[in-house]
This record gives sequence, C-alpha cells and structure tokens, in this order.
Amino acid sequence: MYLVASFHYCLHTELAIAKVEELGIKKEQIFAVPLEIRGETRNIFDTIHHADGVSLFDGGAILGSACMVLGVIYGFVLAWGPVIWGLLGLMGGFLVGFLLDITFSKIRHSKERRNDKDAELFLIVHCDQHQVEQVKKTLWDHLALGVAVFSAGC
Amino acid sequence: MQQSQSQIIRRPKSAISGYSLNIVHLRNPLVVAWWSLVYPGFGHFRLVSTLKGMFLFVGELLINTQSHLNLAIIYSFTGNFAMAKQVLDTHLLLLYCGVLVYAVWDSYRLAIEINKLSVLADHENAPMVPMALGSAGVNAYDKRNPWVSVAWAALMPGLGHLYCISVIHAVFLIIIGGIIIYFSHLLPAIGYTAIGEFARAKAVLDWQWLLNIPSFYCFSIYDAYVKTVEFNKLFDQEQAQFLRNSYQSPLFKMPL
Repeated sequence: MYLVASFHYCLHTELAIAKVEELGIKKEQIFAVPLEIRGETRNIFDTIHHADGVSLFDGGAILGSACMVLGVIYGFVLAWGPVIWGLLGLMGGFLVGFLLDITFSKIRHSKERRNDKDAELFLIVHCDQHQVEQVKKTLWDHLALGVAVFSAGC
Repeated sequence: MQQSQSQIIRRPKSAISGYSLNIVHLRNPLVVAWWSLVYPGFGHFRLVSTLKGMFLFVGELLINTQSHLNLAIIYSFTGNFAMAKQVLDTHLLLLYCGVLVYAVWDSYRLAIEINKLSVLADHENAPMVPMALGSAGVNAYDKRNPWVSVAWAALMPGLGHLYCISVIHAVFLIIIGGIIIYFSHLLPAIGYTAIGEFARAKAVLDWQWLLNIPSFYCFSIYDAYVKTVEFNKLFDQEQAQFLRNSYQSPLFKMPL
C-alpha cells in the first residue's frame, strides 16, 4: 500500500517522518518530493509559511520613515506637536508607499499569488496493509495538509 | 587529502551560533543605500556587517550630537535659517559628510558583493548545519511569523531582533534606543500628548535627540521583518535539501 501526504516546510514535517520511522517503516520506504517554490511569486503579505522577502514592505518602510522624520520636524511648529505628527507621517507615508508598490509592480502577479493552503512538499510512504491506519493517523497528527491511500496495482 | 579538500564549503549559505544568525541572501542595494542615508550604520546592519555598522552608527551619533546637526535640520526645514546657522557647532561638522557618504557608498558596494556570493552559495548548495548548541544558547532553524516580529519591534526597538536570533543587533538597538529615548524625553512628551497638553509636550522635548527617533524606530521594525522572512525561507531551503539527500533512496519501490 502507498500513502501520499502533502505538507508545508516546517519542523512538524520532520517529526512526522521520525514518527513514521518509529512505526517500523524503513528509510528506503519513504520518498520525499520537496517542491521548488516559484521565485516570481508575489504575496501581499508574508506569512509564516511562505514569503518572497520583498513583498510590499520596502516602499512602505522607506516612505514611512521619510514622512515620519518630516512629521517630527514640522511638529516643531504645528499645533499638535511632534508625537502625533510623527505618527501621522509614519502611517501616511507607509500607506502611500504601500499603494505605490501595489500599482507599479504587484498587479500583474496577482494570479500567481500563493495560498497558505498550497502544498510545499509531498511524502510517499510504502507500507504493509496492517500499518496503513497507524501511518495515516501519524501523518494527520503532524499537520499533513492532505493524505491519500492507494494500492500499487491500480 | 584530495577528498577532504573537496568537502570544504567555499560558499556557505548561512551560519548559526548560540547568539547570531547570518544568511547570505539577495538584497536590493538601493534599499540598503537608503538605510545608510537615513542613518549611517543601518545599511551595514542590513547586511549583517555588524561591527562596521556599530562603528559608523556611534560615529554619526557623536558627530551629530556634538554639532547640533539635528537642530539645524529642524530650523532649516521650518524656514528659520538664521537660527540654523547660529546653532551649528563647526568643530566636527564637516566630518559628517565623510561618514555619511562612505556609509552609503560602502553599503551599496557590499550589498552587490553579497548578492554575487548569494548566487554562488545557492549554486554550490552545500549542506547546511541547521542547529547550534553553545554556551550562549540553543538555536535552530525554525519558522517565525514576520508580523509577530513587527509587533515586538513596534513595542520596543530591538525586541524583533531578539525574536529572530540576532542577539548582538538586539542588544545594540535596545541600549542605544534606551539612551536616545531617555535623552529625547520622548516618553513624558507622549504622556502630555495623550492628555492633549501639546504645548507642554513640545516644551519637555529635547529636539536634538528626538530627531534620531523616526529613523531608528522604522529601521528596527523593517529589519526585524525582513530578517524573519529570510529566516523562514532559509528553513524551507535547508529542509528541502535534507529531504532530497535523505529520503530519495534508489531502493524505494515506485508505485508504477
């Protein structure tokens, strides 16, 4: 019998493999297929499971820091003082930088956006009929995204 | 002898220790140059060129504080040019140009060099050591949420760096941040602002020190965020490498 399971890259995946091996499955009976994450993908926000590293944070951080400096400077003469104007500058600058980034570079990538539920690697486990239920439970217990069971003949 | 030589990793991708993590990854050299322009030293921090960064940062802080450059900036931007000239102390002022231009130039150059090394490291794809156990602590490649980094860094500069293993950066940012926050009298001013006494807030502030805050604050948030994202990507890369090396046995009976 074969089991196929999809996972994210995370420590739970290694734990899953270790637990399956403890059930008496040999290393040669486990086959891993780590997927390459497409380099061109752009995400609006990076999350714990996927990231492109540039996102929309560069423009926001640059314009946010510049406008915060200006906010603090002009808080010297404006009524509300530097604390409020600095924060307003930060938020305004971040928002404008963020919107500029969206308009200039991210729209064409919108169809390639990855979902948190997307699989990042597959495990194939070859085992005997009587081990299937145990292995399946172990895979589910360690955050498998999906598990399938099939026999070799079909 | 020949065998041991072939095992030398010429272009390592990352190094982890009990208190630090350094990853060779692609960075936009213009963004790095921008942070050097905002505050000399921060561009080098982005490149984990820590010692150089600290040296340039402290140098700029001393020159700026001694020459009252920040005050002159505030007076110039608000149109009070006479006061700007009067407030400047010229004993060290001209040194500032050298520090600033050098920091921008050097961080830009270094970013391009590190990008080249990053391409080579990805090509060599040498085995990584994903864990460090030392007297300073235990660290392992792991997944972190970049928005938790942002939240901690927003609460206090440096905490976001502690969250993603950059202990040296974190200690530096926390100590220097504490000094800047103390001398700028920022926290009392926030108190006065919160209860609507804007005039008292302005009066209590030390403007020379205050103008360090925006760049300092924004940088620590941005840097913590990007560090966490790169940390996660490194984890994926190392785990994929490990699985490919250990769990693709030719003895595996394929279902077809």
